[in-house]
Amino acid sequence: MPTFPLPSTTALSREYIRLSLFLLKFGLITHFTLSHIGTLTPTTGPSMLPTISVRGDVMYTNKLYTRGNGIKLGDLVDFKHPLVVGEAGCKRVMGLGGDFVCDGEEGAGRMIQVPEGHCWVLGDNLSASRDSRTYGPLPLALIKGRVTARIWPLSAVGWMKNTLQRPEDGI
Amino acid sequence: MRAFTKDQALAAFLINPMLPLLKTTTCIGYRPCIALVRPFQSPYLSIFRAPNRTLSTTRPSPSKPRLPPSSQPPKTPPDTSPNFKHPRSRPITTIFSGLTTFLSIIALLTLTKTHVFELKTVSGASMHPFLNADYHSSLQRDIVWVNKWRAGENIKRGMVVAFYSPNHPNVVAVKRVVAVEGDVVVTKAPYPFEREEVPVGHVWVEGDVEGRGKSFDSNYYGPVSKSLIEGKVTHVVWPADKRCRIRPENWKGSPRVLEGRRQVEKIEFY
Repeated sequence: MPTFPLPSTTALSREYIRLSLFLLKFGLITHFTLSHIGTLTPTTGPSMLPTISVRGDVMYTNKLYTRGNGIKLGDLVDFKHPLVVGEAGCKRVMGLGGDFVCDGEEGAGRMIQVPEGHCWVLGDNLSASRDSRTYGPLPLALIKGRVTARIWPLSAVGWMKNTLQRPEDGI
Repeated sequence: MRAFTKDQALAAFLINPMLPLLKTTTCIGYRPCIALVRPFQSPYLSIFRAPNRTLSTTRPSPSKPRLPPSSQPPKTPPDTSPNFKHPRSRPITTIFSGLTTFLSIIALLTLTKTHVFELKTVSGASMHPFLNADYHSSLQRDIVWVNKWRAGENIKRGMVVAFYSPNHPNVVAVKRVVAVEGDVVVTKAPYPFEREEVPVGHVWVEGDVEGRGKSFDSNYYGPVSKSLIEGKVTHVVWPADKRCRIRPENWKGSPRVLEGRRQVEKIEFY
């Protein structure tokens, strides 16, 4: 092991500069990864039961699926809330541009066609969910990423599967 | 810089031709790795160690008599066995260090563009003649400074904003905010209703251009969510003779906007 004698003052300040440059590089690359590649999002609320618990679940969001790029029907998406700047939402995409969706409960309400560039999001727990039935179709540009896996609690770790089936495949 | 033998220097120079240029490159790999793997031998702790003590010595063995300092042999130079290369001169370390520097510069530029400011070219004529006054006589387009800091907050009537178009999620549109939440707007064709109240968390955007159908704005796609707003256009940067600061108070207002007087209710999240 080579020796490390006590450094002089200039060498000491060089050490600090090296350390702070390392921390700067590490911080930049980490921030870039978290905002553009993938991040962990804690979730709260009863609107996605039983898929996601009311509190304590932490999901992994794949940020490569941003602004609707590659989003398919049945995907869980993490999006910027359309009514409150700074809030986020996590719901399931149940309609894409051109699809016909129903506004109310159990098939009642208006039937509207989702405009181009928008999607229709619904929570899995319809009775306790404020989703597109409240604020209308969600612009695809608000989508931040696709929720692909749960990483906490450890007993429930796993991929979030798209369980939608076409009617012709049978139940 | 520790001393190399001639063989080591030649070998390092042949293996890594960039070494002479990268001599002062910050080494990201060596010190933090040693600090993680062998914390008590961390180079960062060297300031706490007494001078002239090597890391491998613990306490002097009782069998050896301790010589006074003056008669100790001169401090041996660091390990100069032919197979040892200082970690900072190894090619993999400089490659790793250069790669992380490159990635962090890209990260810095991307994060600046997303969160601080961006210079954008305005490609359409919907803000004519405020922006792109020479749209029909020249191919030159105006360049604006978009301030991305706290983009969706504190939006006022008269601001020019850059936002993701609701119908085309990868297109950024530049329009003026003519009405905020709570206002009632008298709409233009082809909006299906004659009046529209701007809902909570949304704004009504329109282009400055006169004439029907020249501006693809809220009269086509309705109120725009404030979360879609990417930044506020604060300055015109090019052409140089039209350089100015865009102030919302300089906008004369629109006669088709009935400003709301009631307080819009806040949304509770539980």
